[in-house]
Amino acid sequence: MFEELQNFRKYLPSRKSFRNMSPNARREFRQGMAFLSPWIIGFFAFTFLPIIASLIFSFMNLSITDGIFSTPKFVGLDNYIYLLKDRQAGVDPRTWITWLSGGTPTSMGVTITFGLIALPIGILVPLGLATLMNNPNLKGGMIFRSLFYMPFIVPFVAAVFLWGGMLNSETGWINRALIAMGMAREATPDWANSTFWVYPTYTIMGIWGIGNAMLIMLAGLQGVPTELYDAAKVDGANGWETFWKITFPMISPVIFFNLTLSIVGLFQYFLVPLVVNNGTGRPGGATMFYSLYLFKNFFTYQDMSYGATLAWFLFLIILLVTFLLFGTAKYWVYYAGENRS
Amino acid sequence: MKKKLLTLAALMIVASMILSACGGGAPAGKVKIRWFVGLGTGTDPAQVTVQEEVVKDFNASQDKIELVLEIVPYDSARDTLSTQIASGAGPDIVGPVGWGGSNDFYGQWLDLTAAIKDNKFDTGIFDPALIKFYQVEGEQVGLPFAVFPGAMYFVPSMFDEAGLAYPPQKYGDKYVLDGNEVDWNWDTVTEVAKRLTVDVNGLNSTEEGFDRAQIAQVGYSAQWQSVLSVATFYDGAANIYSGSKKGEYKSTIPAGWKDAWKWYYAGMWGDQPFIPTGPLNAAPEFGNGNAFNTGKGAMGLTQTWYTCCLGDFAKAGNEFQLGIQPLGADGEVNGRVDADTFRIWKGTKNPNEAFTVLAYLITTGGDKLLPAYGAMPAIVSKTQAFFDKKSADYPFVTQESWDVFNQGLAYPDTPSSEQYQPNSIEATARFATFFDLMNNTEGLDFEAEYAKFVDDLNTIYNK
Amino acid sequence: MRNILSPLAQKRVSAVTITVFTLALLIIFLSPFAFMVFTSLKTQDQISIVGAPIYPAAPPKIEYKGQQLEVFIVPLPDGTTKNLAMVKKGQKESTFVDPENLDAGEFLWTGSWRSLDRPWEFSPTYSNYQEAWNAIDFPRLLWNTLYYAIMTEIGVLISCTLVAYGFARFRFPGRDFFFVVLIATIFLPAFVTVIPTYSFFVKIGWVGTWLPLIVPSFFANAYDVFLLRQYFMTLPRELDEAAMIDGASPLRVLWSVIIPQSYPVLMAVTVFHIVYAWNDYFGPLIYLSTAKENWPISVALSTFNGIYGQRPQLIQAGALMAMILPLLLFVVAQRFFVQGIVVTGVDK
Repeated sequence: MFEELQNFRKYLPSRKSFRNMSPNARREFRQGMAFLSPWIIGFFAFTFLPIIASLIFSFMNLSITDGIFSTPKFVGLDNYIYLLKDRQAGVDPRTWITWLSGGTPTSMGVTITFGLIALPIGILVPLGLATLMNNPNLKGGMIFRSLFYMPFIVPFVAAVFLWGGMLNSETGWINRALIAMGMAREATPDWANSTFWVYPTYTIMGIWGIGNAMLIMLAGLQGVPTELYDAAKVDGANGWETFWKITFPMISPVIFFNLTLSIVGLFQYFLVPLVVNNGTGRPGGATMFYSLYLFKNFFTYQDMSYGATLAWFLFLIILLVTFLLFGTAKYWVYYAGENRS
Repeated sequence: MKKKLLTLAALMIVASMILSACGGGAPAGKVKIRWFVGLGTGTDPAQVTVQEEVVKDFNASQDKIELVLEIVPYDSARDTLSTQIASGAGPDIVGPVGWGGSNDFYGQWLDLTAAIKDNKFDTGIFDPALIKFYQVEGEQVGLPFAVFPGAMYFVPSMFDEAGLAYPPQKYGDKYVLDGNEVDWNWDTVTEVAKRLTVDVNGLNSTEEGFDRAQIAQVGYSAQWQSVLSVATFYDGAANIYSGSKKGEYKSTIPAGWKDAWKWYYAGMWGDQPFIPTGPLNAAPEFGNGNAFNTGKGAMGLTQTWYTCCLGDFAKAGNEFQLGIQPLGADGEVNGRVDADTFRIWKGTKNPNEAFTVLAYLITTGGDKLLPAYGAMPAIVSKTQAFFDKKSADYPFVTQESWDVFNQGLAYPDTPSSEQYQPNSIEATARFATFFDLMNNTEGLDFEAEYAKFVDDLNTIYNK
Repeated sequence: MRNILSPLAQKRVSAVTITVFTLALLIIFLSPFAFMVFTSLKTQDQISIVGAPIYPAAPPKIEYKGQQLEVFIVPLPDGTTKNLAMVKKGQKESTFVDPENLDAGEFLWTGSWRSLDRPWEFSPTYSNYQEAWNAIDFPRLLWNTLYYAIMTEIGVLISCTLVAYGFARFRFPGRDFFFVVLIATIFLPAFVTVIPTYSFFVKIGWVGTWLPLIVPSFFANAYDVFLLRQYFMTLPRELDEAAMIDGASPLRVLWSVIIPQSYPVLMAVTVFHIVYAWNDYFGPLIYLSTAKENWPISVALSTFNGIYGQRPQLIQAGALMAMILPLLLFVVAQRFFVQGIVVTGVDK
């Protein structure tokens, strides 16, 4: 996929490529495009223009109250130049030096730090849970699956109150449980208010809503043909070997999907810090995530242009990371249906 | 093959359109006027019902305009209105909204001068001072609708329990503390509040062994106040910036305001706390920020609008009364008067019809709306009806208590603590961040954070 | 290494171990859920009692001289404790009466009443559910939400399956380019494009109707296409090719070969999308703000989260009621998650 992207031009439909196509290839092209057409039509009808509009905004000086139909005030690359100098955004790696040497964290720094904690957990926990749910020895699997999935359905507004009640440093259930287990009241964590605990807190909240990732992993696990396991048993493979030789390759496309979406989700993480820590970045700027900073500029400060600039920079970063990820795919993602070259 | 798919796609589009076409269209011949609620009070389910009634009344009263109510939950209202305005599809009428909410959309409000003239609207029903209140840069951007004087809400039973006298109910009266007559000023409030702050063992904040980690009742809560209004109550209204153009703006927060915030911070995190800290205030037991309503705040300084939403408080068997706003260090009353009204978006296509609706809402419609919003009428003759309605909701509140609101009208904050600032939204957000930091940080380096805050303000003002 | 247990017994032991372990995990996992349930059963008053048990509890009360008095467990000078009712509270001493012996009259007890335990009684308030139900016209909201979820579900399932099949099973110039574009559509935070999108729907007159929410779902979305494509690509091609050689059209192959092998993932997409639509907030909020009669549950629930007063118990009660349908759907969908339904090459 990676090298396909590198010389993707060869795959762009050009006149020459059409002429050189065999009738079979032509038919496949027509059929393939026909299947893609619902999305392509929808893309041009609903998605393309707004995306381009937001790109244009990033070259303007436009506030929300001006409205998008006001006379455009183009400012060239000013927004991007400002972005590079914006320490809070932290897109210039040089700003990381001050951050790492003890200054206020930058938004990009915050996002990456949190990602290093949350990403592995966000893949491993659902995978482990799905494996457990898929274990034939587990009794009452249906009930377990439903109950582990349930938190994912909880409406956001209810979840906010719920976590407020669980994690409150004064009267929260978790701290009450810790005190009941013998911890001193003064020693209980401040959770979302503590520089040390805030990322674990967010991670715990994230794990709770893991039902969806678990479900996708489970669907992957259940797609593994049973006779492969039987064959492995005949060969005398133990559980660990079976997992690495059969289960993992077979579900790698699904893990790849979860990983890609987790990374996108991480870079766009803003709702939890916005609600739980009032979007102020407290404690000490540790929760001023890049997308939160983006959101605040865009909606709170009504600076549509700078918001769009931040967004397009984020777009490039995610694109780059995804390219790298897709590049690694050929080393570990196995597509059984792709064995025809 | 391709044909089949295209046909399928076409069918899907048609089907989805037919299925989705259940949305209603406007009746022909009527002008549709949208009334957006959400920037302030008005989204509580009980208030929504009243507003729907008013819309029905209005639509039945004439046949040229169809008024449509648009309710957006408070947390999302700014983003929604932003989206609409940016798309050139803003609502015709926005409100109720106070100065703070309307400053977020500064410059978006229609000057009503022409409409008032065209419609021959009699502004004589209002106090001229209130009319002037809504003149911004020579434009009449609003008409008076609701006024919200401040008062000290207090719970008599908690004062009884602690053996303390009730706060005075007439401006000029003294307070009796330990047998001595003292001024009802912030020192007195602080002392009283400390004695009313009680832990789970029944010790109050001034006593040895008081357990600050297990507070069961707080003495004072600045109920739904901002960092600006906390300072205004404490030290009086002030101009918080100087300069008249970009590059020259400068933060001019008075020293007294800084003292106010130091006092507030000490009230939360100091040796003898009496104000709920951020975490305590956010606890479900303390009503997620609504401590007074949970019956665990002995005093709460806030405005008339708070009477909108004390139903649960009363239902739980609690009672409150009203006392006067405290005196500042200089012996003056540092009152506050909030004011809400309806605005017309300047992008409206039907300014005249919108004004007709606005005029209805602030006069006839107000009879139903004001009590629901907990708002005192700007039309003085309607005040008694308002208090009668409130007395029905809270029969235990005495006439002397209600009168505190009437007296409070004499102590407005000019300039308002919700005054406009250059780059208003970002500046206001910076104030909120500072407040949030104070509320939630133990052992705050106050001087350093304050210096940083002022620095940031100077940058934001001139951005 | 010899194992003294028979294979059957071994299997039983491992079943018990695994099930107990999972159960323990589940209990920890669902403790926040207990918070939700308990909150939904409390009165506003019960939520706010400091030091009350975590379950909905009320102190017993007795009637005395026309007043409701709260009962406390009071330690007496002789070292015993007795349930007494408090007549008048004070910081240092309070007045009590004995509910079993009212004639004995009132007496003073020195100490702080706050430090006293109370004989808590389990006292759930089921009427919160009714109150939430009535306050926001629940049946109507349920219908609206269901309508929105089902309409978009149909669109998503049809369009995403078709598009994913196109990406997974056809090789043609431009395919990978289109795939990158598809995935890239989710790289830009959604709120950045919301204003142009909104103004587009204003221009074509769809705001205030269901159209902007439902129609786009018929044109596929990146999340579901990506997931389906990933799954389709794990399916071996032998069956497709066999069917093709027998003269089946691509649609026929999709219908009779691919879809029967993809029940788990199609079910995952179904459940995923229903839940997404069920909890979708900002979309319905901005497009239906003038059409309150069309609101889904998610928007209506947030009105309990008012500016000057929040009702956690109604939010939780409403949320729990709102969750029932998607949860039921999930339980039903379980049928499709049973290992072995996957057709893995007939008699291969």
